[in-house]
Amino acid sequence: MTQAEIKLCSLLLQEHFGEIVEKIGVHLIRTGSQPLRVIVHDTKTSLDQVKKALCVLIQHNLVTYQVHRRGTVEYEAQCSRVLRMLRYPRYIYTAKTLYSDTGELIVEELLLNGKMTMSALVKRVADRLTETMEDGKTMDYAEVSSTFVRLADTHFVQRCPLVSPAENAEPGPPQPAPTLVISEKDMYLVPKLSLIGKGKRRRSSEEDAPGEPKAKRLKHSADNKEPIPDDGIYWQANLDRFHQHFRDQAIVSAVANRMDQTSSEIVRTMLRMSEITTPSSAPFTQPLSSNEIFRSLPTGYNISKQVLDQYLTLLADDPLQFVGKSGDSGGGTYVINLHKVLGSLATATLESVVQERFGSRCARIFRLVLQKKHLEQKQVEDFAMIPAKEAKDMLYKMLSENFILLQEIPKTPDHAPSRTFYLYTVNILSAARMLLHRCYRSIANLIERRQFETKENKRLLEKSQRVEAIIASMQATGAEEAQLQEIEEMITAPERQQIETLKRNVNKLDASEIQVDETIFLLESYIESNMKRQ
Amino acid sequence: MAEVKVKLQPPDADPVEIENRIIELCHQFPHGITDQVIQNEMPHIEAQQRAVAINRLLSMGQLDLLRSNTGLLYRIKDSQNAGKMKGSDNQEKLVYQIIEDAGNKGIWSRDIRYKSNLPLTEINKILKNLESKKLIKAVKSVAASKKKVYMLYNLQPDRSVTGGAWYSDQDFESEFVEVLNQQCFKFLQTKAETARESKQNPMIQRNSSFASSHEVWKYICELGISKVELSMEDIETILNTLIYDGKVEMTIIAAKEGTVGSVDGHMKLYRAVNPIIPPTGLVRAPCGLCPVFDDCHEGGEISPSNCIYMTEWLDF
Repeated sequence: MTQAEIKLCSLLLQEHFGEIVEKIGVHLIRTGSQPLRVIVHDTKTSLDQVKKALCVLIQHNLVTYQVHRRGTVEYEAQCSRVLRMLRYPRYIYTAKTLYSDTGELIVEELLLNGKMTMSALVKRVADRLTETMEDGKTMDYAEVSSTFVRLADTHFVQRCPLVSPAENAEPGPPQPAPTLVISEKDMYLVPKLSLIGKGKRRRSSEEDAPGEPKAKRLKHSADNKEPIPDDGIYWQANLDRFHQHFRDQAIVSAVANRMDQTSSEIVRTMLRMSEITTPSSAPFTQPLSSNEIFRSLPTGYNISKQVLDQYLTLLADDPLQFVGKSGDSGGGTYVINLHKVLGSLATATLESVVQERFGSRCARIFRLVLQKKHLEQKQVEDFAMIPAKEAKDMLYKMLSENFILLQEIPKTPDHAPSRTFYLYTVNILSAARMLLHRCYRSIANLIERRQFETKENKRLLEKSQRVEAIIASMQATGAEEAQLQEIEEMITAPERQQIETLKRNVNKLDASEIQVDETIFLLESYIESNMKRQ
Repeated sequence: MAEVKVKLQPPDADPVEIENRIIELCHQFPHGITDQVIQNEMPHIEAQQRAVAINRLLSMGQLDLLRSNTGLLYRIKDSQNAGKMKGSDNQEKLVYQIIEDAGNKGIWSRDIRYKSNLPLTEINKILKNLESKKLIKAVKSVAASKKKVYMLYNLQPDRSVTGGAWYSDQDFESEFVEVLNQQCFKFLQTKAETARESKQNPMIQRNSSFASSHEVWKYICELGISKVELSMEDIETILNTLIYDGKVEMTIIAAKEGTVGSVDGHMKLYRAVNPIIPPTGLVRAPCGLCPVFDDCHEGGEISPSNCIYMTEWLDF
């Protein structure tokens, strides 16, 4: 793990879980897999605290454990999984667009709690929804359950691995740690529960102040003492599926930008049809015949079969090579070239970064070297039609930032500079890795700035919180208008202005983190697809 | 009466006569005559006399000696030229010959030295001499600005030396290229727009958004923004720069020989396109464009907490 990634993980863990968990987590990321005793010794925290921290981390799928031959259990942290915490807002937003508010809350609760049983989840979500609804209306459990079932069917949520039943039957001393297994077909099987009930609206006296720890809220909602029917079956969010969805979105928008709306709809249909059938790391989707595509088009689109065929031919002939024709049966079978798409998107990201940082003429030279693979200095000037001095300057600038590499081809065995060819070339994989590293550092910078801004104005924020609490309590006890005014004036106008600015800045920094995360997603998908190919 | 072997005295054994006859023959065949032709014409002259006459004509500078695959050719020299070189000696004539052979590409002084095997000082003296007589001129090459190539005075320098349409007096005309670039792109863009708005079936829509290089060339010529005559290859280099800008894509289709604009049986078609992704997330944050990114760390002179770029960006 690079230094930048470790820094980012430490910032995220600290923000979401606190100091102790952060210390343990970062230690595990830095040193790899370790047994419990060693962690306690190295981090100099008490055994109790380490256990609790590990509990939290395991609950959130950030740490896994393994039983070794000699009976020791070693814990290992997943650095990439910690970095996914940046993407939680995007996951929740996707669930909202696909399954509306109910889906949004289900995914949010799952992500915040790591693992949950279905019944607990449904109850919690119903309660939350009921609170936002008007007086007198409540949310039915059945509706929440049906949304949950739909999420499971489309593989957005999956079951966590369970304790294997064979272990309990084995005679002999119990294992130091259970091994968890789950079979492929069980992963999305929803247990048959009859959850009947309605969401409970919390009374205002029980309303929690913001920032209360989660444990207290759990105690509040543990009203019924009935045994939960699906005890032991825990669910977690299936992040791979969400990533697949993001990738599909990127492909569809790329096609829409390059061609027109109808082509992008066709591509979206094709991707939807291969959602469940194609594993996410495959280079091509399953071949789809044009008849199937025609039948699966959304009902709003009434284009004739011939027009569809024409669009498919156009897509297959396009120089981008996103769609390929793999045969002629069934009116022509088509596949989507997933690896090629990721490569094109990563290349486009690189080009966009070069353009914004160095200017459009540099971008021209960059694309030129990208297309022609290897070029000499003189050829670059000729093809790009840029004066020699400027071209040289730009090439050296990009060389110093490692976007472009220099390849030496000696003519003589003694590598004399006057008798060597120097060729410029671009290696997309290494440039993508370099850019990814920069993205991690940028996000760490943005988080640090956000924390700094908040810390700067801490005094002001605390004051405004106190004032709000006073006003709320006075409103509850029925105070007069004049008294309320007086309390409100405790915050002067410039201070109010400052708070406004602070809120705006924090929002901007947050939004920027999410945008940089989009770039990270594209680059990571490309690097991953390249690794799998090898 | 015994047979007397009569040796016919050749009627024109006079050397001058021979020379005049040869010159007449050369005028008859301006492309040159071989030794065989002279022999046929004047069979009564012995080989030795012929040789003497030809040598005299060569040294007087009235005949040119050329080699062809059939043998040696003699050609009448241009009388004007013959007069020019009267004052020069053999070395100068040799150098002049070499420069003439180089045609309109010109020849570098070191190459003249190799070909003539003359020492450097001699070459320089001769070149200065010839230049002052206005027989040759020096042209600066656009590739290496210190190098000078020599060519005959009245010849136009070749494109590779002056750089062609994009160079005017050794200067690369970047503004001209930029203007052409934008004009071509605008033409392709409007073509794509009209095609998109026509709302016919997608095949026709796409095909009508393409423009061949010939069409673009005609459009630019009609616009008349260029003082220099531009060929189709020039327009293709401009369109290639648009491809490297990511604004245009190209396909090659097979075209029948004879259709307008086809070269060697295929045509190049160009089409304006949009980029496939909007500017990426990283460049929307100040860190993506920061010039001092590598020096920035918490607690240092440059850190995220006191970053001036971020402050400006947040105030925006």
